[in-house]
This record gives sequence, C-alpha cells and structure tokens, in this order.
Amino acid sequence: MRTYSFITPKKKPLFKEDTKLWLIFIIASFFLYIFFGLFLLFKTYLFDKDSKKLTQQIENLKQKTTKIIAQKEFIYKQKALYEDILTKNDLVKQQIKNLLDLIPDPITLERFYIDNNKLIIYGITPTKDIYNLLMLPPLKSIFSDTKTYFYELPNGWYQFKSENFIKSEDENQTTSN
Amino acid sequence: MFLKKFFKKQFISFYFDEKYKLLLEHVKNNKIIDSIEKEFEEKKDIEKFIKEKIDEIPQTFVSTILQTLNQGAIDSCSKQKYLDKDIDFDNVKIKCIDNYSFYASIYDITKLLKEYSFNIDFLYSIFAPIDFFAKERKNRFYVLVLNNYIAILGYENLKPIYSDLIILSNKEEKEEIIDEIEDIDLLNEIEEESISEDIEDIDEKEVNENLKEDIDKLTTNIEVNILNSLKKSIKEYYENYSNDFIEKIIILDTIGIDITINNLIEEELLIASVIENFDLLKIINRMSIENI
Repeated sequence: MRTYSFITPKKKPLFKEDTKLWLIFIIASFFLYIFFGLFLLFKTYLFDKDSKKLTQQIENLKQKTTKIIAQKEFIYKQKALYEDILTKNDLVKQQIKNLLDLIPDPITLERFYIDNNKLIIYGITPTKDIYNLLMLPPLKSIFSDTKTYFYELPNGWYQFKSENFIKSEDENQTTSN
Repeated sequence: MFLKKFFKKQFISFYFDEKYKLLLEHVKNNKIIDSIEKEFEEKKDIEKFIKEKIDEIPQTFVSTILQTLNQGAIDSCSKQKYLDKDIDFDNVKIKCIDNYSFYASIYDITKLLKEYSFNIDFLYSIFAPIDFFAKERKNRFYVLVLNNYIAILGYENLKPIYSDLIILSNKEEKEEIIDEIEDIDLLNEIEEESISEDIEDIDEKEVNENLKEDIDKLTTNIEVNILNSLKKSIKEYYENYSNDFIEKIIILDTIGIDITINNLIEEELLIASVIENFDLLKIINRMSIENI
C-alpha cells in the first residue's frame, strides 16, 4: 500500500464524547442488571434452601404430631383403663365391704378368695344352722350357684368352705386377699 | 481495533479551483455507502460544513491537495538527487514512494494546515492523485487540467521523472473578454434607445456574431493555453530529462475541456492524446481510504 500523504492523520475516537457518556451509563446499568439478577438468583437459591428445610421441618413436625396424637390416644386409653380399674376397684371394695357386712356376728371369717365369677369363703361357724340361716340366704341371692362344705372341729364348731359362682363372664378382675 | 470495521467512516476531500469543491463519502468495510458532492463560494461556508460533519461522525478524515508551486516529483528518494536538482532538502517535506518521491515546501504545508479552522488528515501533492491513477507508466505524459492551472507528470520508465505545475495565464484575458461583452451590451442598450427598430435588428445580429466569436475565443483559449504550456514542458522534458520520445499524452480532465484539444496536440506536437474524465475528489478520497 502506497502512502502519498505528507501528514498522518490523528487517532480518531470511535464515539463522540456524549455517546461515550451514554455508553458508560448503559454498560454500568447493564452490569447493575446482571448484579441484581445474580443477587435475585442467590436469594431464590437461599429461599429454596430455606423452603426445603421448612418443608422437612413441617414433615418432621407432622410425624411428631402423629406420634403425639398416638401417644395421646394411648394416654386416653390408659386413662380410661385407669378409670375403669378405679371404678372396678371401688366396686370390689364395695363388694368386699358388702361381703364383710354379709358375715353375721357368730361366724368368723378366716379367709376368702374372689375371682372373676366366683367367691370362695373359708370360716368357722358355731353351727351349721347358724350358717344356713344367717349366711346362706344372702349368698344365694347374689350367686347363681352356691356350694358349702363343713368340717367339724374338735370343739364342736364347724369349719366351712363356701364356693359361690356367678354365670356372667364379664368379670375378669381377680382380687386376692 | 477490531471494532473499527463496524463503524461508518466519513471521508471528505476538497480543493479550491475558482470555488471550493467538496466530496463527502461514507465508507463501511472499505465500501462506499453514499456520497455527497458540494460546492462553496466562501471559505467560511466550507469550514462550517466540514466542522458540522466532523461533529456528527468522529471517524471523519479530511483530505486535500497542495496547490502551491513549490512542489514536484523526483525520480529518486536520495538527498543527493535533491541537491542535484537545486532543491533545498531541509525546507521540503519528502514522501518517498518505492524508488521515487514527491516533495513540497514545509512552509506551504504548514501554511495550508493553518489556513483552515478544522483538522486536515491527509495532505497530498497535486501530483499524487495523477500517480495514483496512472496505469500506463512508460513514456507517458499526464496532464491534470483544472480551471486555473495544469499539473504535468512525465513518466519515462515506470516512474515519474518530470513534474510541472503551470498556472494558466488566461485569467486576465478572460476578464478582458468579459468586460468587452459587457461593453457591447451597454452599447446595445444605448442603441436601442436612440436608433430606429430596423437598424436595431441589423445591429443586434452583428453584436450577436461578435459575442459568439468572443465566447469561442474564450473557450478555445483554455485549450490553446494547455497546448502552449505542453509545448514548453515537452521542450524542457526533451532538453533536460529524457531522450525517449513521449508516446502518449493523457489529459485528466476535471473541467470538461473540448475534445478538439486532441487534434490540436496531434497536429502541433505529433503525439497521440486522449482525454479521460478525472474525478479528482473521488481519487483523493480513494487514496485516503486505502491509507486507513
């Protein structure tokens, strides 16, 4: 390439001064957009992470709630059972009291055994008649089947064993004394 | 820079020849997209126009040619050759092209650069566009014709060995003829007032004929002037520069000279001559485009 000119041109800028300013602003705002975009992406990532954590926590809490509900159910059942036992105990207490009230003065009670549907009483009576007169009628009125066995003692009194049965099967509580 | 090729560049070339002539071209990827040609009477108008254009596009390159007498072409780049030709080597700026060079006075260059209120990026010797354009370079004479002067570049063996810038002396003659025409008009007006209509018709014819002759004289004067200048140059060329015969004269026409000049040259100088339309502004711009 031949250069004929006596002078060489000065370096020319590509942009006018005001265009340069505009470009700087545009580029700066472009970078701000990118920065803001990245910031939003980062925030989204953090929110996602938190959201997953919270979802996991919710899941755990749900499981815990289920467990607590189950425990609560169990406790309610236990409570019901306890109340039932308490009621039954009251009932047994009442029955024992009734039984003890049932024993007439001349008869001495040695021991007794209460099962679900049976009552076995051991005691001493001066005579069989006293027993048959004072003890047997209330027993018969309560139990469906009553069997009494007498053993004569050397002093002439009788030791007896009274077996009493109830036919109902809902009694499953055993109390021994 | 890599980005540069995506930007539009603006090339402005101008020169003064009776009035300021300007060509503006928009270039992208070395291809001209559009161009505007303009002429200005006043220097301040061209300055205003170019300044506005420079403000619009920073990548603007302004080019012009040096039209002073203290310039030329030498068939060497060596200092000795300049000294042999009695050229003050220290006071000229030399542009070496291959094994020949163009020179111009440093004073003229500085003066021209200070003449305009805008920056000039490329400043060429008047002979540079001829050399840029010249395809035939063996015993050829190139004559660049402008309104007020002609630039002659003579090639012997691929390189220019002779250069001359001749100011055409017909300016005063032109003014005289124009004055003469004006006088005839004035006379015509006087006659119109005083003499009868019949006589007036005859006079009008005569006046018109005179006018036609004068205009012919005016047009042929340029061609004759060119011919006379050529005669002197060729004489000097044969005497001082080369013994080889000039085989062809190529006239680079920027003003629209009459084709009869070819006959005149062939008759008077016995050398074949051709006229080529020469868009000086376009050539200047093309030289600048190639340099960017």
